[in-house]
Amino acid sequence: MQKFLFSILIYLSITVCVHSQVKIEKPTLNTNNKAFVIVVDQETYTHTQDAIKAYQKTVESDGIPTYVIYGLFNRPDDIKKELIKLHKSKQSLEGAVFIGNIPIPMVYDFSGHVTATPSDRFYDDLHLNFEYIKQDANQRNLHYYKLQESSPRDINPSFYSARIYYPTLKYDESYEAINNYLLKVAHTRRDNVLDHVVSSTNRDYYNGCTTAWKDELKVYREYFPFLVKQVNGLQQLAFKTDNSTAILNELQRKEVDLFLIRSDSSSTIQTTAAKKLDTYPLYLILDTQPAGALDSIEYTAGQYLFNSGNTIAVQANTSPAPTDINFSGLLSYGLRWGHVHNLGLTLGRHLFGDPTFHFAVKDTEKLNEKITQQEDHEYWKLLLKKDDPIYQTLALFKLSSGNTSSSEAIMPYFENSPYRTVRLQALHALSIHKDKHFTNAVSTGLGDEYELIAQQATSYARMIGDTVLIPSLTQAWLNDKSRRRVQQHIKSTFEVFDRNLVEKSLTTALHNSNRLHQDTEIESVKSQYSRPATLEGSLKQIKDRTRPKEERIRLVQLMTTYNYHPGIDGILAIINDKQEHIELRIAFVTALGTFSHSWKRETILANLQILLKSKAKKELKIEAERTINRLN
Amino acid sequence: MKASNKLFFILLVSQLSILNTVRAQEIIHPVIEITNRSFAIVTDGSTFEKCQKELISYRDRVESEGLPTLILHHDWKNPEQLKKELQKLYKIFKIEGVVFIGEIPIPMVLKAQHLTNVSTAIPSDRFYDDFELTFDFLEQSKTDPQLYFYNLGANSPNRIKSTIYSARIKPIISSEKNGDKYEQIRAYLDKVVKVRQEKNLIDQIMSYVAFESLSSWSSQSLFLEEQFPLVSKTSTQFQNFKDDKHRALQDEVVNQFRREDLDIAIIHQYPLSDVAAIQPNVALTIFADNPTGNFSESAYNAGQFILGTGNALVALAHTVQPSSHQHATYLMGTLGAGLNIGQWLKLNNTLESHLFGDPTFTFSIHTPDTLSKFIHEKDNKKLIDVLSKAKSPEAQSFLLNQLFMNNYGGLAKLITQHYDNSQYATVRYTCIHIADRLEGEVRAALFAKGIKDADESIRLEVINAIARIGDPAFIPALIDAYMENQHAEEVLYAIKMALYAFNKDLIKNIAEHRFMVADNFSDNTKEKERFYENQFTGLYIEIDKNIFDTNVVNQKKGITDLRTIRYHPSVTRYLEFVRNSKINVDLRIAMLESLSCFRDSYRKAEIAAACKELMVDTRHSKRLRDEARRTLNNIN
Repeated sequence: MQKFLFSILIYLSITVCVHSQVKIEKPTLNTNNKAFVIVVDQETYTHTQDAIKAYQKTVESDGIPTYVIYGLFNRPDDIKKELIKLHKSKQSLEGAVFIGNIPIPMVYDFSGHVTATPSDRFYDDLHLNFEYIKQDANQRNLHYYKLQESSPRDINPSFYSARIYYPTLKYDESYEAINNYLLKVAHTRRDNVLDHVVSSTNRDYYNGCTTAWKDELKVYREYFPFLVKQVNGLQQLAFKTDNSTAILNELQRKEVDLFLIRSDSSSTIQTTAAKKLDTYPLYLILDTQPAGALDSIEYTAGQYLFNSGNTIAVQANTSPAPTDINFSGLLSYGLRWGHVHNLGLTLGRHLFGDPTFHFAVKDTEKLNEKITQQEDHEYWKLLLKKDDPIYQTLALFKLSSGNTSSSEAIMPYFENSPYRTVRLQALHALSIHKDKHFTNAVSTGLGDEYELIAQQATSYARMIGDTVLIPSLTQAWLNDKSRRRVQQHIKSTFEVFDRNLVEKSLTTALHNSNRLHQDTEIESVKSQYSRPATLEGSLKQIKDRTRPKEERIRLVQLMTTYNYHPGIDGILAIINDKQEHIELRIAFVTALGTFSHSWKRETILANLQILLKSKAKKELKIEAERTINRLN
Repeated sequence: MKASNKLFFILLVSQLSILNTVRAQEIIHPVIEITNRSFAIVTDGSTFEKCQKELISYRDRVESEGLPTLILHHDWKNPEQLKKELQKLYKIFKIEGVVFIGEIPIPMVLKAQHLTNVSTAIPSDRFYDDFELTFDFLEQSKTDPQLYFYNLGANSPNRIKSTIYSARIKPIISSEKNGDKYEQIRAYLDKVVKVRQEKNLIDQIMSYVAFESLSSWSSQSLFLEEQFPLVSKTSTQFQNFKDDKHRALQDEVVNQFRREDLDIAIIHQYPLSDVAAIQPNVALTIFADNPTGNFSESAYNAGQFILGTGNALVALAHTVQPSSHQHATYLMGTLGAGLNIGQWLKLNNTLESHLFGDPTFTFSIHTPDTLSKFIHEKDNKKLIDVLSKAKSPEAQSFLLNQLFMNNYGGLAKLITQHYDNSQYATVRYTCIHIADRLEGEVRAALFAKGIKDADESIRLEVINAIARIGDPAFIPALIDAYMENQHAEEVLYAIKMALYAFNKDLIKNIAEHRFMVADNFSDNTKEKERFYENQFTGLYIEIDKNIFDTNVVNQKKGITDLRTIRYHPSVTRYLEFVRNSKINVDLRIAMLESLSCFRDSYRKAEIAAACKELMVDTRHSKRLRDEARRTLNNIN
């Protein structure tokens, strides 16, 4: 018996020994282009070797030198090490694909939330620094990480990544599926013009706002300039509670290139997956909650790849997060899906399938190469000058993420561009500057003819909290009743201001209006604002020392989560009060970190700077530093 | 007599004879000289007497914008008397339009089922403004002496083509506090004079619709944005309400009417109630469907809307429920290019559409294309030249439409070019609309493209036209459209209604094959069965069963349904029905009336031939023969 155990031990050590040696196959293509790397686990490699070779050849014939790395990977770090090496090499790296059973990093959300999100940002964003916590006791391929204190918080991926992952307990099935998939990619032409698009959203997606639905059609025209000019070129499914039948049918249409499915509920998607249908749209973007939850064996995004249909890739989220589709125009121009996917990336957004794939190349700028040249700001400035919404949107993103453009330079694009996509991107770009121009843009944006811009403007207004925004919010509230979603957002935005000011603004506006029932409406506003609001109450309660510390901390978290700017001074007073419990003061400093765009940001920063120079306790100073980082 | 005296005498006599025909009527000539056009204010004697000052101010106001205006007042004996005068004014003074103020006889038109949606008498001023139409007098109403009933003439043209435009300012008579009727007119005219002094660009519009599919609404919104480009600058300039079944936004419409900066409101499916309380200020309101403009009633809504408190100037409304296929805002963008409201509406008139208020109201021009000078242009070369330079989509549509009205020979080629190259849905729509009237090859060619157009309104236009035509050659296109429009509810409904006009077995034959090769369903057989189940049920599947029933009530229903669903495959049977003297003659006449609606049918020739034969066959009663003559006229 002992002998038997021993031989197993030896066998294991040999296995580990052999497999922990990562094998690297070099590209067969000699160019100066950045490289792509296929990362695959040993077992999958053994069973799909030919298909992987075929895939490598396909990618290389598309102009990207391609490495294959395989071996036994115990931890995500084993892979990351290799990726860093390649990225640092002279040739550098534009992307990676993880095939088969690759360890899944589970990352604790940056804002300190309690649940971990499956995220390959661990692999593809080399700016972020992670700290290993543990391996999951049951699902051995899950590895938990948290961000180091010193790590940046913003996601800024170093290259794109995607997964070709077939979760199953039956390995043979997985190998066959991956084999078939890779061969499908190898056989699919990359000169298909993006000219057939389908979009589906359910009612909740726009809070039932019909204007939002209608306005989206107009931006599709900017995203997709090559649509066939016929009924089948663009199909925007009406929002209903259940679009299942329509979605199932559209998934069968062979001519569809891109299918956007966005909804709050994922039942349809799961039904589709459960039926194991062949699916035909080349690229699917699923903004449905858990479709990309690759930590679950039943993650649905994968079901679209491993069938005999035409589908090459699926973009989906591993955890709830809004999907920004404002860069979709780049898909029309033939950018690699990985490149487009990486713009404005979030922790949970993932690409499943081949990330090097693209539609017919239609741009005249060779963006597939230029897009990775982050440093070349002069180029992006030139691109911004081209009268083309697709180029301008990208240029605005590049210039703002490189923080190399002043808000004065961006402002004209927000104010004067006839393109909805450009104005939207300009508003996002301005948000980085957190200055007067940004506040002005938010004020104007509330009345933009594109509903999504107005809706984004309400969110930004909430983050800013400057009382100069109250009149514009009031005007939109009073004169823009046809936009249901904006109306709802404005109502909640009013809650981040001093209620007396809001009440006065609303009643004055009503008074000056010519509305039929203005008196009743004025009365209704007055009665609504005479009732004490939750957050106003919370401000009183956090000052109340007779309340338990835990309760006061919970309340301050509530206030800051809801961006209650009028509470800032009160919170600062408590932080500066040496009589208060240190734990409470620290928690209050943490809470202030949400006011990254607040009009009182400077006040908070000044206070915290003073705190840093004071004789306060070290823990408090550490937390102050952290909050300063978050506010900057 | 000296020669010069002789000439003077002749002139004097001719002048006198004009005045003589006007006789007891009084005419006040324009102050400014008439060059190529003028406008007439027509009123009754006592209104003139009581509102003289305001009428003159209104005249001056209109003239100040360059339109010579005459005033004609008289106690009108009947509609014919007035119509004759209008025809003279048109000849002598080149009037382009007229406004009827006060007590003007109301023509009530019957036998026009092929021009409208209803078979009851329709209050219609087309009696006055379309000089081509003919009418046969029936009787003056005994209960309301203002109403005069007419049959549309047996030889009358079968389409509306108004010679001049017309509008009404007819005071409200009700027990409520609407004030003296003359006071209403005085107040309205004062308002017009005051409001028209301000410059007014169309830069604020709103629309409301309750029950409509999202995609149809979206397409119609796009039309309005193409027509009124200034409204797309900020969100509030185009308040675009799409209500839901709870009618949650309905109350907001009242507040929109009250806005002081609103130029145009386009209203669908909105129940106007308590109009007096609204006090609307919007310059032009279009009530696209409900019959709010039934001015044969003493307290009609459209009148209350413009005559009550508030600065509302003009309303476009209908005297009866209009056909749902009517495009109420066709060419409306011309209002921003210099056309006055009357000139615009004249391009898109129906029997039941009417203007209330001042038809000469003109918005400021906001496009580089000024169109009013081309409204009477007969030189097609010139129009084509202007068209080639026209920038705005609505200018292009207008010019194409003018060329159509001038019967320009090269139109088929021109609309094909425009359809193929225009990025504007409104322009493509206009091409389809014109192709429908041109018939022949260009229609077939443009319909084949139009039924697949990216814009939903265009697809609907084609499908509705196909239902009128009924040629089985269109069935494959309809089936394909069914498969391609799964996302577009309203189109699916139109297809269903259209397919009711075709033979069921033919549909099945084609559908069997089409569904088999379809690549857009997850389960083709299931989808085909769903299609059959939906298509071969419903109200109109049993039309023939009813018509050839033994129960007269069912028969009548079936015959009436033919006005909605023109079931072309059974035309032979329907004609046999008409010929069959064993059948009740009223039913046979009703059948002929329904066949009047087959003007666009691909089997029109058969109906015409049958009518010709019936007309002269004295074995049939005179009533039937007369009706056959009428039907022949209506479909030709």
